[in-house]
Amino acid sequence: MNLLLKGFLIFLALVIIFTLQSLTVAIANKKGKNTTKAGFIGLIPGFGIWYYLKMKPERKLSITAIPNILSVKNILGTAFIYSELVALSFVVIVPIIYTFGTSLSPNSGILNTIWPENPSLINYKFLFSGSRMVGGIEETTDFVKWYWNTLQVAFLTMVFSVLFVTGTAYVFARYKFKGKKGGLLTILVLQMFPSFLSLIAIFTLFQTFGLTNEPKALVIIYVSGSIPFNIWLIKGYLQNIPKELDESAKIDGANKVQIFFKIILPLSVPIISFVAVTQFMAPWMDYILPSYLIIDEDKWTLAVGIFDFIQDVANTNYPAFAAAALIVAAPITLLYIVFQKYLIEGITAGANKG
Amino acid sequence: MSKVFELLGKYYSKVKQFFKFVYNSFIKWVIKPVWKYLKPVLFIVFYPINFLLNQLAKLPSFVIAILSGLIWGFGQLINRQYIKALIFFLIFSLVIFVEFATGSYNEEFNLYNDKIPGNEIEEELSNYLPTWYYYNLKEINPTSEFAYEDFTLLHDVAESNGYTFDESTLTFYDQLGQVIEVDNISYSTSDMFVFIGTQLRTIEEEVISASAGNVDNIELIIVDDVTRAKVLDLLRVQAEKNVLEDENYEALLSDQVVLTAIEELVEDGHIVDEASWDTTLTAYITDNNAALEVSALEELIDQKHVQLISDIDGLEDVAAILAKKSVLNIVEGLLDEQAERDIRVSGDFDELVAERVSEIATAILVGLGHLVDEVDWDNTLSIYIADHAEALVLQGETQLVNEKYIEIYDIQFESINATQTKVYYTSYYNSHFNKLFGALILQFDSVSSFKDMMQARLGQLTNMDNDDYNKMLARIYFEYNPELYSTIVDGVNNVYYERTGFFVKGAWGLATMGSISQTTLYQHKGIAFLLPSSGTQTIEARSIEIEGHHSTQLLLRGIISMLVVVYILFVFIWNIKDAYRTSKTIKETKVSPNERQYFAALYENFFEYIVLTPALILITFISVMPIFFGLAVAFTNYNIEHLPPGQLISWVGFQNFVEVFSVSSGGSIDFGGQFWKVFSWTLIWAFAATFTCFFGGFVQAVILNNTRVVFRKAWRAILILPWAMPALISQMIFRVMFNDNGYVNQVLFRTGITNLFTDWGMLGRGFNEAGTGLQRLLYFGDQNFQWLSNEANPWFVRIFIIVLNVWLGFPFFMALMSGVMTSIDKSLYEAASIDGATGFQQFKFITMPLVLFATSPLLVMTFSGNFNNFGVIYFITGGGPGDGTFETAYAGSTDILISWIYKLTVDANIRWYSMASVFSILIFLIIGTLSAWNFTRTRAFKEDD
Repeated sequence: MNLLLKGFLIFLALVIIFTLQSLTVAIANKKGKNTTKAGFIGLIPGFGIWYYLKMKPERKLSITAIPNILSVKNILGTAFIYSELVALSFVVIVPIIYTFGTSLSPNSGILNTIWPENPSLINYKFLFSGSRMVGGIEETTDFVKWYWNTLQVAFLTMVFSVLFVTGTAYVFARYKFKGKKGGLLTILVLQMFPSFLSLIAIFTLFQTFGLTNEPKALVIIYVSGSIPFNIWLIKGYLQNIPKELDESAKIDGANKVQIFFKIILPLSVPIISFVAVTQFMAPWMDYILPSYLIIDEDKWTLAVGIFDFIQDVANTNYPAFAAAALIVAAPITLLYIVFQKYLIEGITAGANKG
Repeated sequence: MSKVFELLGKYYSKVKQFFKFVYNSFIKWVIKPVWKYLKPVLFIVFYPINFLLNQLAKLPSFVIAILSGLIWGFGQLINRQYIKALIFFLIFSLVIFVEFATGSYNEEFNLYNDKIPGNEIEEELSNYLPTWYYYNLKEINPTSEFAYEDFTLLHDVAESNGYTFDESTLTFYDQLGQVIEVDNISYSTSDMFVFIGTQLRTIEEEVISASAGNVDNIELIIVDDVTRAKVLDLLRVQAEKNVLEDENYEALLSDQVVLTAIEELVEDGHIVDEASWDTTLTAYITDNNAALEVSALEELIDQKHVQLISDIDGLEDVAAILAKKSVLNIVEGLLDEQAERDIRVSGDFDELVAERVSEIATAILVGLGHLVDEVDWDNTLSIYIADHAEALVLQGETQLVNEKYIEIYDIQFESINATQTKVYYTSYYNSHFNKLFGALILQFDSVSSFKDMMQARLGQLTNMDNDDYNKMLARIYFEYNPELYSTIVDGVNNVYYERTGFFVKGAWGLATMGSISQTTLYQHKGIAFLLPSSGTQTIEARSIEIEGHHSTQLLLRGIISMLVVVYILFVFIWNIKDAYRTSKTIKETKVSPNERQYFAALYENFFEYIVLTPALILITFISVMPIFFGLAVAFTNYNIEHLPPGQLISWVGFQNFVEVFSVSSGGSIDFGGQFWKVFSWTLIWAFAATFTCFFGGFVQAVILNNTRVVFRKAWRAILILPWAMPALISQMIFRVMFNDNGYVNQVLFRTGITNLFTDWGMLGRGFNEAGTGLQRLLYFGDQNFQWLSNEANPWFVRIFIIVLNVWLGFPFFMALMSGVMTSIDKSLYEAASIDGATGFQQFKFITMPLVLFATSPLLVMTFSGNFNNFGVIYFITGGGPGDGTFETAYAGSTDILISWIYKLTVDANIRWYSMASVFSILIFLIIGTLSAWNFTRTRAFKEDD
């Protein structure tokens, strides 16, 4: 009961603080004051509202403006909205904090509270050094190798994807030729095939050439898998580059190749960087292919290795899993947050504008 | 300094002049005259070709095109476009070259070389044998009578190893004339024997050269009377011995005795019906139709025997007869030997031996009490015994047969020794070994047994391993069983697999996916007793596995080669078209088009295709090929019961599809029924997940965009975290958190909510008390909430997953719609509020339609994505409460099609690839059609020029 009460009280407190903040800003807004400053001051419950109520308005206000803001309806509405936001934020944040907590837990079982009693960095050390002693038995992990493998794969995928796709997309974007529409449709259709169908074939193919157990061979698959979607993306972007540029360059005597390298490429740096970034990030999170094609434990990529921490029934290690998850997730999450607008646009462009 | 340069410059120009002079004179005095004379020659050579081409050019265009199809580049040659002709012809020859280079059309199939592992024994032995042979010659008893040395074979041996053999000193010499290893063999006793040997050889030659019937006319070629007398003496002694030991003597004697005995018996009044005298001197007398054994006659017979023997005259007569005959014997013996040797060499020897062995075997078996009906002693050592009219085959009883075989060998040798016919049983598998072994054997008067011989030889080889021995055994065995050998070879030798190249083998492999699975050779284990028992390594006879055809690799190569053929076809058609068009142009305009222009135009027009080519090739072989493979697998029976390389897979047509759409019979896995269950759940899941996320995100965007929210960006940053974190990680985290004893359950327990639910009856009952109907639907778990493992109430888990998925999916839509909302023109709202619309109406008529319209194309994409959302199902529930079992066709309760396919493909205990492919195809048909339809609707596609 205690916990529930505690939780509820915290919740209530947060809602009240934020409601007051919102009211403060509304008042400040009506009075024409700087809302950002108001936002910060408004965080101090009670004081903020009183502070701004006392302020002289910068502009003329109607009589009902402030009372409207402080009306019961408004306050309730604000409180309602904020309680929803706070609750949702709880739901969003709790798993993340729990993961942090688990990663700092010294035992290897499941953590039952949100934060361990004796937090320690032992799990991080374990991942980077590769081994530790548990009750006299040495546990090893190949985390660093996995990281390195995945890094290599990601880098190579990025480079080759860009190389293969850019020229092809350029051709699709700029030129008419027989079979273009058919080609586009085929590429789209190819994308729809579940990768499992090809799994056996790829496995047999690799076996014939002795490429199983070689993470770099995964690059081939990632690159050719990335071709359809990225062709669409880059093509769409290139179509927005005005054709007049091409024509004027042609008049100046440039041939097709020169147009490509000197005009189109510099202008498409944004979209190419987008493709490069997404292609770099893709292998970190692919589980299916490496789990089937790579057998030796020390040649795994990260996704397979991390899942093994909690899947291998004989040897589960939840804190190591959490630590590894965080190490992997942190850069990607950061990238996503920083480039969120871009990424969302890119994804919708794939389905939308074409 | 400059003077130096000046000087250098002068010399440099002089040198340059010099070289120029040389060059010019070379041209003038060498090239020009050669060309002058060459030109007419070339002209003569090329004139007819030119003429021919001119004639061919007059043919109608389509004929030229056809010709070009047959030999690529020919059409272009007729059109006088040499560069193009060369290019096409090069491609053509490349294709043919690949086919022949990857195939082995010339080689013949050799089971030993191609299929059986291990080294051939020959080299080992042939390097060894002169030495070994020579050492063992010492063991020959030089005083054994008539062990004549046959040195021809030693000569042969020496020659084939690059040595020479000197008969006089009985030494091997190498090429430098140095002695190889050993001391001479010296025959200490009489040179007589050497001489006899020589003499006998001469006799032999005489016999051979003489006709067989005229033995009487042979004179012993002896130098002097003394020697002759001596020889005759020896011959007589030998003859007497022969007489006494000779079976002929026995027979003769017994004949005599028989006659006498019969006389006596008849005198005594018995009726001697079938008197059959074998050497045990038992006679069967029939008296009054009863067969009596008359061993009582032995005494009588013995007396007669003694009488006969002591009747020296009789003996002398006989002996005299035989004496004469003995020479004859010897001669005949020699004839026999020669005959034998001829037989051995000619191959009937085997039959001879087989007969002999067969007789002996029959005797043994009869002795054991079997009724031997048809004794068919073929070389597989199988005997058909009819015991009480049942035919038994003794083949499997290797032990028994082996023993018998050994016995037979031994017996045979005894009998051989007894008869003194020098028939030696040999095993050989190449003429070299053959001869050598044969030569060795002939040296030995009495050879212990074949077995010992082999043991002795093999024991000295140290470099052989088990595979080599087994190969040798197989060789030996198959030499004796040529029919078996050819059966096996016929079985294993598939022309397409062994001999053809990339294209033909690919096509064949695609059509048949292999026709031969593994073949096991085991028969040679029957003669395992030949293996040496060497102390250091365990050598045992093992079955030899001959690899069969690897179906999936054949299928794969087939598809790859067909794709390559498609590309080649493209070039082929280009070739024909070009020939046709160009020749038409030539006919019309009388001018041969400029090739340079052609290539320039090609570059211009086909620039796009040229740039597309690398990506095209990559896609063809990495994306398209596996898809075809997967398609193909759906029409085969590739599953855990048919796993290459041990077994073959074969085409089954639409059977798998039929199975999906029909009701299954009891015994087999119910893929059909299960498919529909899983499919309906997948649909429900996809719809639910898509719409909950869509509207969840929408609602959230609306809330977030409310004017009352301060620091919107901060809130958005927090709320977008689930999307920013890699989905894989979040899914795994949920798996941990919602574990039966995980964090969430712990919290719920500590806050007392668990108790609350227990009181309400939704927790706390056992699995068996889950109840039915509504009660069951409200069953949340056993001790704790069984979020992911509620076997009694899978719908609990399913709904939970859908709810959980909202956490993962709403941020994307929220951010998207939030962006759309902020970009809606504010003036719309202003206009609406001027017109008196309430907030809610503004929302309903402006915001909602615009946002929904802008994002609805994403609905289809999200639907497809969720339909195939592997991660959420696999990482969080692992397929659902209840591991898939045989009854459920391996699908768990929350398995969607894609995770089910994953299980079917990857789990090493299941491996139903054929069904997995079928499902993949069905998924593709659904999702692909949907996406394609959706896409063609978009503006972009329609606008695309």
